[in-house]
Amino acid sequence: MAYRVLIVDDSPAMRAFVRRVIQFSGFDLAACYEASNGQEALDLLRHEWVDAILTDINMPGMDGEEFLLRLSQDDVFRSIPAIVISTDATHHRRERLLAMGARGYLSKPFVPEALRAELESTLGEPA
Amino acid sequence: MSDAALCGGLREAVEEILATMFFVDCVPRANGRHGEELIAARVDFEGHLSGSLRLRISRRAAHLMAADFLGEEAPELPASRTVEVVSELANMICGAVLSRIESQTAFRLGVPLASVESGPVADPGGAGEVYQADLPGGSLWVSFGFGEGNA
Repeated sequence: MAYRVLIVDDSPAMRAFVRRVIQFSGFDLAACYEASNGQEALDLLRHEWVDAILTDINMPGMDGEEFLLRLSQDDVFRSIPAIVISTDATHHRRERLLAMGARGYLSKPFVPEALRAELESTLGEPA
Repeated sequence: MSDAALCGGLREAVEEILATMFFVDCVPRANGRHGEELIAARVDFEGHLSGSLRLRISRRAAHLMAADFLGEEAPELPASRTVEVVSELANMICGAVLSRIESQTAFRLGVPLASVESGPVADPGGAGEVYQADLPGGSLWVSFGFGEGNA
């Protein structure tokens, strides 16, 4: 099965890196969308269905925490699994965001295999 | 926290990020080369402790790293995209250092600010713990400090 993925990050470089890692990891990717903050992502989700979301935390405008909160409050969007990708590797932050509804948490730096494994684990595919 | 712990955390963070995300092995050095054209970046942070991370990298080294990071050919990569990658590098290093030394408390990173230094810089300046290294194509200089003077 091919998946549709949304990458939410204010860094164009990081969005490009994540997209490249997904494409070259062998993950079955049907489409890859990008947004630079939570609000842009919510606007995009009103027009495009995705199977998984990869989101940063620190972003200008709507940050990752607010974005996760808004997803959890929406009857449709709450079913889309979201994985946080962040420079913050503290236990405190990881537990907080998993409690807010994130299905996975990947801290930077990460090896490409870790991103694929996180996606496949979240989507119920074999890692 | 001791200066040695901070120094070790900074070195570990830089070397792990360069190896894992940029596939670059760096060679630590005691004194950076001055007089190179540089790209400079800064990330401020707030939390239990506040301060900033400052990074300077040779333009050529940054350009080569950015091309690898983005999977593009170096000659075709615009300078603006190199600056974006340097911003992300500074962001990742700052978060990784704080995660090592402030693992029990929350922190918040500011938006990275990066720019191309228009001419050779005689002295990178700055304060706090400093890590310097040689990279393919040039040198890297990172400082990390707490307090008003660094924020």
